[in-house]
Amino acid sequence: MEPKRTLQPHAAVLAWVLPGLGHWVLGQRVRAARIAAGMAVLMLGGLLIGGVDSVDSENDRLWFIAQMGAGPLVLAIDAANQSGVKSLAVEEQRSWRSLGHVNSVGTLYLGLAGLMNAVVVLEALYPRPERRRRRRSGDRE
Amino acid sequence: MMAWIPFAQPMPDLVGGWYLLCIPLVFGVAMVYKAIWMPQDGPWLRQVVVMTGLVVVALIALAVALAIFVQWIIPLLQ
Repeated sequence: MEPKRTLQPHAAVLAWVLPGLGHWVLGQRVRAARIAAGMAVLMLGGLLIGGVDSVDSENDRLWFIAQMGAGPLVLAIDAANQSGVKSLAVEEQRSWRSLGHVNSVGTLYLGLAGLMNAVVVLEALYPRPERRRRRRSGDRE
Repeated sequence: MMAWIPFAQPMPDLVGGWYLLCIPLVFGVAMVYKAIWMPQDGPWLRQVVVMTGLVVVALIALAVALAIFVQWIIPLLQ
């Protein structure tokens, strides 16, 4: 008989605060590490490509809503963009603002990070019981 | 020119090969997707590599199909 599924709101909140932390507290340590690694690729990749201008709650509002799924780090990046970069003189902003494909790709990386973490949060909220991988006849014990 | 500050300023000289950035993007999505849906004792990395390859091949096929449509089929209709 399968174990009963229950809602885990604390895990969902922790999964939003730090991707992977929700599954860590549920005892799914391997899964948590894999989620954290994948989210790190997406978030650090987006920042590396587009810089802090990849998150912009004023000019890219719909993308920002998607990016919010990745947690408070996105809010911090947006705060750095709004209060740091945009407060600079126009000439000084030039090296901080990403344009064209660079901005699009950076925004897309962080947008997909937010959407994937939304799935992670839902999975942490109502986790499935862990299933063991089915052994095939050729597998070693 | 000022030195580039990684993770804060946009990456310079990236305009030409921007489409290659879809590969690490797909890899990151596959990492999270397979982490959620696979059992913890499953061959995660192998599945991630397979999914990345399939999605990139599908993207290339879509690009080729669109190019054929725009370059040859639409001019035939005119």
